[in-house]
Amino acid sequence: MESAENAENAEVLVKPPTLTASDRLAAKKRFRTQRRLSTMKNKVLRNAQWATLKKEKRKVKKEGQKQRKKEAEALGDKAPPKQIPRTIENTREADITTVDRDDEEVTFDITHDEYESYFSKTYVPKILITSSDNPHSKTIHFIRELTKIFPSSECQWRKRSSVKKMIQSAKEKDYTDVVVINEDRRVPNGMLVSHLPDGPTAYFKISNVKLTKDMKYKNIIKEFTTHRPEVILNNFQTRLGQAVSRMLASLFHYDPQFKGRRAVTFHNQRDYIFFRHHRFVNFKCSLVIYIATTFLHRYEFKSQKRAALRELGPRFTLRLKWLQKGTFDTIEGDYEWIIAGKRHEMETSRRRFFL
Amino acid sequence: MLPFLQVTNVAFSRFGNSGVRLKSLADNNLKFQMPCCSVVGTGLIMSSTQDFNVYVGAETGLFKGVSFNDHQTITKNLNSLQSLDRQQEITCMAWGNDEESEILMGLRSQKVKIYDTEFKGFSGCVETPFGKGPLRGVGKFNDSIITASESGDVKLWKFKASQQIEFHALTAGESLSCMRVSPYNKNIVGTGGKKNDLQLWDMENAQHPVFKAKNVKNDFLDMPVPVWVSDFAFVPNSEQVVSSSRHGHVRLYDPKSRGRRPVISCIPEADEAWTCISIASRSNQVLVGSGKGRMLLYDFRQQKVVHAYRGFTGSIRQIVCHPTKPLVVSVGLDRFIRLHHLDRQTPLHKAYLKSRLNVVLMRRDFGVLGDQDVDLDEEIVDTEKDTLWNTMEVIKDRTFTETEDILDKEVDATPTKNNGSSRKKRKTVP
Repeated sequence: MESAENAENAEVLVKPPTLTASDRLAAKKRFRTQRRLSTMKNKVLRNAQWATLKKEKRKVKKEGQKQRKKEAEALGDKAPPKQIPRTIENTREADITTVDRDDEEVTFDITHDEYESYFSKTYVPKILITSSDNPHSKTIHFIRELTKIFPSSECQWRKRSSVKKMIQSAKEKDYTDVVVINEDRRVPNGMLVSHLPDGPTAYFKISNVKLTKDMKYKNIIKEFTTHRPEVILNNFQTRLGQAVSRMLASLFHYDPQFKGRRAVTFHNQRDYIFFRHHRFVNFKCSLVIYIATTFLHRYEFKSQKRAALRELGPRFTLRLKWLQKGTFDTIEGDYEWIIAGKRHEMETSRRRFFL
Repeated sequence: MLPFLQVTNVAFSRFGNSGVRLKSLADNNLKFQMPCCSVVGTGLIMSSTQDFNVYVGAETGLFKGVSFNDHQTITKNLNSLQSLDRQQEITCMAWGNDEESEILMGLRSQKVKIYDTEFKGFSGCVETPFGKGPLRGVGKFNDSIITASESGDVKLWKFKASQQIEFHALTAGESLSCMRVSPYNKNIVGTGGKKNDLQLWDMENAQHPVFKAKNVKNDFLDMPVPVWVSDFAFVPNSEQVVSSSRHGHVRLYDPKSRGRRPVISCIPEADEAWTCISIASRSNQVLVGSGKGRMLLYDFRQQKVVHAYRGFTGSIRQIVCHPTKPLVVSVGLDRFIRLHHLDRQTPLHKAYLKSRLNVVLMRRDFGVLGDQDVDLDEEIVDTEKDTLWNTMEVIKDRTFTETEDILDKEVDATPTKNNGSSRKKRKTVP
C-alpha cells in the first residue's frame, strides 16, 4: 500500500511524457531522496545526494529534449514552433513610459531635449575627464583609456577642485561635457557625466572594470587607432532609457569614421549598461548606427554580417543612480529620476526595469 | 463659427491696441474643441464629467487638459506641436478670474497666453517683454495682467503707459523664483527668489515693499542661513504667508505680527530641497514637494510631518490641493500627473503625460468618488467587487473586552506618523 501511495505521489511529482516501469521506479527513488535530503545533517553526504538528484533530473531533461527534436525532424515543416525559454527580459513588466517612435509627442519631447544641438550636428563634443583626488593606478589607467575612447577628450588631475567650480571653469573653456570618475578602495566605482550648457547630469555606478592590459589578447593596445568610433546603443526602451542613451551618445563625435572599423557599444540589459569596445577584423559590409535591438539579440553585428570581432579597450558596467536636470547640484537641484532612498517603493518586482 | 467671432471681439476690447499683438483664432486648432461642447449660438452646453478639471503646462510648451473621473483619466493636448519650441515653455500659470473661465500662461519667451475654458480655445497672446529671463509669475490684478520675470522685474500691464506700474523686486539676490497675487488681500503681490527673501508689495504704492521678510538668526557657527524661496502660498482668511525654501526650510510669516522674522521656521525633513508648497484643505497644514520626489503633508503648528506620499520618481514641480476636499494633484519632471488623497500613500490616479511638466491648475469643482474624508476603516465603494464580497462567508471577529476596546479607540484618536495605514496598534493591557 505504501509503495502504491509512493507510486501515486511519484507520478504527481514528476511527469515525464511517457512513463515506463523503470521510469516509475526511478521517479520513486528520486522522490524518496528528495524527501530525505532536507533531513540529512551531514553536508558532504547531502551535497552528494543532491548532485545525483541533479544528474538524474538533467538526464530526464536531455531525454525530453532529444525526443522533441526527433519529433520535430519527423514532422518536418509541420513541426510545432520551438519553445521559447521564459527569461526575466521576456516577462518584463510593461512600462507605460516605453518609447513608441510613432507617438508624435514622445518623439517631439525626445528630439527637443537638451541634446538637440548635438543631434543637429552644430558642435563637436569636447570632454573633460577627471577623477577624485589622489587616484590610484587602476583609476589612472582607466581615465587614460577613456581619453582614447572618447574622441576629443582630455584628462586632468582633480587638484582639490569642487565639481561646481570645475563645471563653471569648464564652461568658460568651451568644454561640452565633464566626466568625473569616482574612486573607492583603489578602484573606479562611479562616473558622473554632466552635459555643460545647463545640461542634465547623471551619476552611474561603475563595476567590473577590465582594463586593456588585462584583456585576452596581448598588446591589444597597439590595435587602438584614433579613428572616431561608431556608437551602438542597445535596448534603451523607456523614456528614461532614451535620455540616458542620448547622453552617452553625445559624448562621441556625431560623425564616425567607418574606415577605422571601431565600434563602441552600450548595451542595456536589466538596467545594467555594458560597455564594450570592438574592432572588426574581416569587415565586409556596413553597419547601422544606433540600433535599438530587442534583448534576444545580444551582439547583432556578430551574428548577422559575418564580421569577426576583436575586443579592444576597457570593459565596464554602468548602473544609473540618478539623473538630474541641470548641472551638478545634488542638494538643491531637480532630479528627473532618482532611486536613492526609494528602492523599496520602486523595486516592486524582479521584472521591473527603468531603462 | 459665430461664437469665435464673438470671442475675438471680446479680446480686442480687453487689450486694445497699445503695442499688444493678438494671435488670431484661426491659428488655434479648432479641431481641439471638445465634442461634448455643442456650439449653438452663444449658449454652450457643457457636461461636467467630460470637462477638464485639471490643466497642466509642460516644458515643451504643450498645454494639457486632464479630467480625473471615477473610472478613468482623460488627457488631451489643448495646443498642437507644430508651433512649439523651447522658448514656448510654460513656466507659470494662473487663473484669470474667479469663475475659473480664463487661464493665463507665462512663457519662457516673455509672453502671456490666455486660454478660455468655456470656449475651449486660446483667446489671446500678449507680449510682455520686461526684464530678462523666463516669466516666473503671472496673474490678474484688477482685470490687468501682471507679470514677473526671472530678473525680478514685475510689471502691471495696462492700456495707458501712465497707468502701468513696474517695480524691481530683486534689489538683492540672484533670481526671482515666484510671484503670486494674493487672492485674499486686496492689492497684495508677493515675490521671492534665490538669495531674495519673501517680499509683499502693495500695488498702489509699489516703490517699497509692504513687508520684507527678515532672515532667521545666524546658526550655531554664526553663519547666515542661506535663503532660496522656491515657492510660497497665501494662507486663506489671513494675512499670513507660508514659504518653502530649496535649503529645506518651511516658514510662516505674519506681516501683522511684530517683527519681520518668520513666526515659524522649520525643516520638515533633512536634506530635501523643497520646490513647491501648497495650502492643504486642513487647517494649519501644508503640502511640500521636493526636488528628489518627496511630498509631505506638514503641520506647521505642531511642526510635525503628518503624512508622506508615494509614487514619485522625480522632482515635483507643482502641487495643488483642493481648498475644501482632501485631494491633491501634483506634477513633476518624471512626466506623470498624480492625484493623491490626503490620507493615502499611493495615488488614487496617475497619468503619463509624455513631457516634463511644470505647472498645474485645479478647478474648484473638482470631484472624484471617494473624496470625502475617509475613515481609517472604510474602503472606497466599488459595486463590482461588493457583490463578490457579499456572496462570501462572513468570518466573525474575535470579541474584544471592554478595556481593550477603549484602549484601541485611544490609540486611533492620537495622530501617528502612519495615519494613512489601516493597521491598528495594539497597546498591552496593564
